[in-house]
Amino acid sequence: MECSKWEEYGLLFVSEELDSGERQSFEKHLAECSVCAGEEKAYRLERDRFFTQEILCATPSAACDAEILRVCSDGRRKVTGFASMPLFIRRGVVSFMLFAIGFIGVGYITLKTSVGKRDAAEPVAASEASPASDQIAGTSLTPGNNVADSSSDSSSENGVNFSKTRGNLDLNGVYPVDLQSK
Amino acid sequence: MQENMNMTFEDDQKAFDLWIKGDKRGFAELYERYKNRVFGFLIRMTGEREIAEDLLQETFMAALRNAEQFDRSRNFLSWLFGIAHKRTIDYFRHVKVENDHKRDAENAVGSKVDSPDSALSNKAIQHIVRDAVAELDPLQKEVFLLREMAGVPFKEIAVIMNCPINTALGRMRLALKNIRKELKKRGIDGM
Repeated sequence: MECSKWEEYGLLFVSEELDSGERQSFEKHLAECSVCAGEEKAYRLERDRFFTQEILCATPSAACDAEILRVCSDGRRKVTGFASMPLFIRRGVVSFMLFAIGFIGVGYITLKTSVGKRDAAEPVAASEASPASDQIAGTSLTPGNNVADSSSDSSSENGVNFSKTRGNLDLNGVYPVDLQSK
Repeated sequence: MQENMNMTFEDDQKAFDLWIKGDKRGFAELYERYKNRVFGFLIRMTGEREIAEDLLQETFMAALRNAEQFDRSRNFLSWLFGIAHKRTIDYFRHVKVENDHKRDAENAVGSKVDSPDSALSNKAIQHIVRDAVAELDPLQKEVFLLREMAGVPFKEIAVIMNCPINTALGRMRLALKNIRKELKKRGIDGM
């Protein structure tokens, strides 16, 4: 047989969580209700006999004690560190760093690729765009070499002196040497 | 009793402040004061010593990490047990062993020898009570341990376990009823 008053107030009464009005009211009820009085007595006895710290508590090993004391003792060091920041901030910082690293990495690779392509295209463009340098180089050559170059790659069809490697020789002010006419 | 509780409350606050400021004595004091209770709670909940030791360490580390969230008006031990409760829940979620902790009273103790209370040694009584607690449903066990081991008020137990206070009271009543039944089966009568 159970009493609804015990269900509602009994445990709170024993754990001293009732306010003064409720406590007085329940004390009056206890004096009249044998069920609640019996429950209260049994619970208090059980607490004294069975639900003691000795029975319910346990002691961690010495190694565990030492490790926890080592890790947790220095509160200031832990609290002021990065680990003390709220989780969402730590996640935000880590995400930002990963993004920055990725951004820099992709940028570097893109830059390297574009530079490589430009380097590959440059010899052709240089040869087409700067015949003057060749001309200067050509003037320093020995006469024999100069003659050989002119005779090997230039043509003068339709009155145009053209070199395969140096373009229109007339326009650039360079004239092939005609060995045969000399 | 109330005076002692106030003393402990103030001592806890002082020790906690020392700990947070980096004074090792603060932590050592709190740890020595509460390690057995928290460890007892964890070992009764998990049933394994090594896991309980890991969770004990995690509990104190989490307390340190979240020190700034500690509400000074609250009891330190209640707060600590709240953290231990979360660690335990995380553990159960992780290993998915909650079903192992469900009670099957009829099968669990049917074969055990009943003997008179008077003939039992203190050691035997300890084992029987621990077994009876171990047989409880996890939710009942948790309320019971928070109340009897840590002295956490029911109002705070309800907050820690995120349930109405009447639910916490109901679980406690069932826990007591089941423990009583187990003890009687083994020849111990609390009355």
